[in-house]
Amino acid sequence: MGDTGIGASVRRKEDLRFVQGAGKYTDDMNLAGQVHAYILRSPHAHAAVRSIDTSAARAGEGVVAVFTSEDMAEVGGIPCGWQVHSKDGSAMAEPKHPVLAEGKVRHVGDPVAVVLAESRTQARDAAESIIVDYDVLDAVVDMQVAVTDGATSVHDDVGTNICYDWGLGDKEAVDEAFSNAHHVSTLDLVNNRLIPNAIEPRCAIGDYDHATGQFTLHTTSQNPHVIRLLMGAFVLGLPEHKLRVHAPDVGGGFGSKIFHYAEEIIVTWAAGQVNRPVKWTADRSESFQSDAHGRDHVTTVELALDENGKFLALRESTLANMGAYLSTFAPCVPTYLHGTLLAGQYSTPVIYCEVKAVFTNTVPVDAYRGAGRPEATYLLERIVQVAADDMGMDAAEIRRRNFIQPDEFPYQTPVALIYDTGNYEASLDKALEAADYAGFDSRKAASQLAGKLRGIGIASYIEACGIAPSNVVGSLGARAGLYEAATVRVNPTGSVSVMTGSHSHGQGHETTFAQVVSEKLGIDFDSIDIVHGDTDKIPFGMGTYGSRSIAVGGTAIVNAIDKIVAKGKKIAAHLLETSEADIEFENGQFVVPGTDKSKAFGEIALAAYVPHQYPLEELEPGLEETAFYDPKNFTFPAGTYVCEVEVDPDTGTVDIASFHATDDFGVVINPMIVEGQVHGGLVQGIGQALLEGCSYDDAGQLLSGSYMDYTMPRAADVPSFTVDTTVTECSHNPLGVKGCGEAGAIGSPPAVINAILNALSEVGVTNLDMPATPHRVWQAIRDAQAS
Amino acid sequence: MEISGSRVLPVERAKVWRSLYDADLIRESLSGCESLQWVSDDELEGDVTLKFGAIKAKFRIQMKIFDAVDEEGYRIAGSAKAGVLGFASSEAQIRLEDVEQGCEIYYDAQVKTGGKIAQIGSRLMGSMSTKIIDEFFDAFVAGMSE
Repeated sequence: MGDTGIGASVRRKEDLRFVQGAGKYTDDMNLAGQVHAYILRSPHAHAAVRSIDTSAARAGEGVVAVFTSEDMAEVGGIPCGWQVHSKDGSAMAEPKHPVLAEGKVRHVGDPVAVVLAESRTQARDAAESIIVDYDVLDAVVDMQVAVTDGATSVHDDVGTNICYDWGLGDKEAVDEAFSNAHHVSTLDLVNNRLIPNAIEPRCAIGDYDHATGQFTLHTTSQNPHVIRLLMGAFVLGLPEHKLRVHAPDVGGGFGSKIFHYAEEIIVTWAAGQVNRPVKWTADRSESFQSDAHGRDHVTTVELALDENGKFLALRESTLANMGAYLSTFAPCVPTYLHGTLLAGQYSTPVIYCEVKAVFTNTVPVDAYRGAGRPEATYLLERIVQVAADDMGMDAAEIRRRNFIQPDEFPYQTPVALIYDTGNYEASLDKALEAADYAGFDSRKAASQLAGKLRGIGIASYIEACGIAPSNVVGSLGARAGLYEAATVRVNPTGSVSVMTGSHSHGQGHETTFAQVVSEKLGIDFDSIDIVHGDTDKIPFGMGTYGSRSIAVGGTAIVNAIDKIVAKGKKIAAHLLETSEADIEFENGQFVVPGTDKSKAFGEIALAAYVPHQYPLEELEPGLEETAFYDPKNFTFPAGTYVCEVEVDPDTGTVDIASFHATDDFGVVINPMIVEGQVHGGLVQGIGQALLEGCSYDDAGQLLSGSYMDYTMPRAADVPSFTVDTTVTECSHNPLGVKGCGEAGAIGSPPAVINAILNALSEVGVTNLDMPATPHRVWQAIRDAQAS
Repeated sequence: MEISGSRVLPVERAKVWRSLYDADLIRESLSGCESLQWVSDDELEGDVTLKFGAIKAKFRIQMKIFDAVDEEGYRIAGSAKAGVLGFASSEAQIRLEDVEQGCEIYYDAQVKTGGKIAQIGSRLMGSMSTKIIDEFFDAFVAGMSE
């Protein structure tokens, strides 16, 4: 299919509606008779709720109802989707996460009461008159304080603030390797807490049809079936056939719209209570204090090396912030999405990782673009650089010397994962060449003349995408399967509707998936529609996160297409009066090779729906197939990023002079979309490295709660990227694809910080935490000069 | 955050002390104060509207005086609730001293804010409080001289 098939940079179908302002987002929907919900949130990080007086609010103008947790006694808590076990075998602490505060509030922004009114303003005005009697308690914010004996407990019924104390790897072997090592490099670092900030704030509309007992939730979600399952089965007790979850166009998620949020429950439940649709839309301040945050690790990492710079062992100890409650997938982020990635691209023989997950009086923390893998990559690529500096080795050479070699695949890492394919040196070489690594010294000299400090940094990342297989993740604590589903419906005149469980919220699935179908069925790209985001239309699927859409969702589509083709061959054999074994399908034609006999795909479709000439005794009419695909393994995209910076020592300002990315995503379906995904990821990673930092004060007040205090990256903060790829095909899916959604955000923070530290090495700075703001860089330079 | 400082008032100490108990004068001197009255010998209640950057908040304030020593000073603890926008609370030590020009008033306050006020306004608190205090004393002195 040449210009619209696999490998073509087809322009995105969905952009036609987006650039015209014709996208349909949840907040664009207004249902007849809807009321507006305002959620009163806690201004305290930690307080006992002595009483809530809603009498004045109930009498407010336009007020339809006011609810507190007492009204929701029949409603369950918000469930967590993953159970991690501690080293000692005990299950993680899993305190109740109430929809509305029950007797206590545990973070600023914790929902306390809900007002429904005819207008948003009336609901808000009425909420002003709710009198909550708080008995303010000490807040615990700093993880290192939270884990000490006698620290204030976020959850009285847990006793400590430790959710779990998890370990992975052979500790004895690691300790042994360290005790015999030629050199040990050590690094303490912080992976800074981030606030997601999708362009579209969250929104939810609940609707109830009292005649049929049918509930509908329209919501900003990356995975509507997961929300239906969690909310229906665990929170509201609604059977699935009476609950539809619809996630229309969604304006960015980055993980923050995976999770099941209180507001989704509130609007759905309340719609049933008042028998009217209930709408809630977050304002931006609310997003800052109610969307799950990301990252927030405090880590010590050590690397043991021999005299040749070969890695002998890696040891990591981390405190991971969970916030006040366990968000949907929070427990797996610092464990199975983090510890398992610590081999990176290297043949480190033994690795040990221990992670304590910690409750604090802060917004819950969960997956955010990369989820656990950026944290693993950051600590690994930082310590590798420290080791290179300690040993006086070149940054590229130490990596090259430790890479897993192309002939070693499949490669069993010491942290459970088995990498199927890769060629790490190929990506490194390509990135170094693009970055003119060899010519760095002359650029550095030029910077020096201008009074600037120039540095170059490398990060070679690996990620595990398309989290799988279901039975394995189940044994690790997942309370869900991680397959994907697709229905391919060939319409009577040959156009195709594909119903996918994957969800597109900016990724361009409507284009990429159509390219796959166009290629496989040999039909016109414009005769294919991708349908997603509505549990009433699509088969039960798990949604989009972890760069899984093409590897898992795409494979489900391919498998369904294979069934279509197999059935088409049977129909063609009947029409062409030959045996099925003689039929081949190519370029949209069912042919009998060596003859002039053929039937076009459209003819077969019509025959299937108008079965006049049809083997009815052997074959059902119709041409529609569904496939559920459960992957055999993760996919392992990998690559090398090279960042060059120029630091102004007088102001601490960091300028990214150039950034070169080389990624191996396996087979690329649409290079333009992939490039866009990498660009977006790089900008987010550079945002983390240079600008973004969530800040709480000691009382648990969110200080970085608006764009005045939380700095998002802008166009002027990033260079024009050079993005390139190498290809080793994934061995266990039919498309050979690996996924590209998160790579940019995973690989870029260590590349940037390594570059900055390389620049600052000449003024004696050896460590720096993100975000490397001008103030922080300036201070580090001054501190180094003073000591 | 901490707000501390002092201000020389060209008024004799006994008069300053009496004026600190004059709810009407304080109300008139404090920008945005809509009402203020004594509800007991040492407790004040009232309403103040303040603008924090982009947000305008109406605070219901309650204050209580402790450890008052005539003409020397007192400790005052207060809370200010702004409904859905959050809260502020403070505890302050007020001290008076004779100086050549009249009386110097020293204040040393710990202020906490919470909710949206902290989220949006904490960055602005320092400059805002300086402005409010300066304007207050200007009006307070003018009021005492009338």
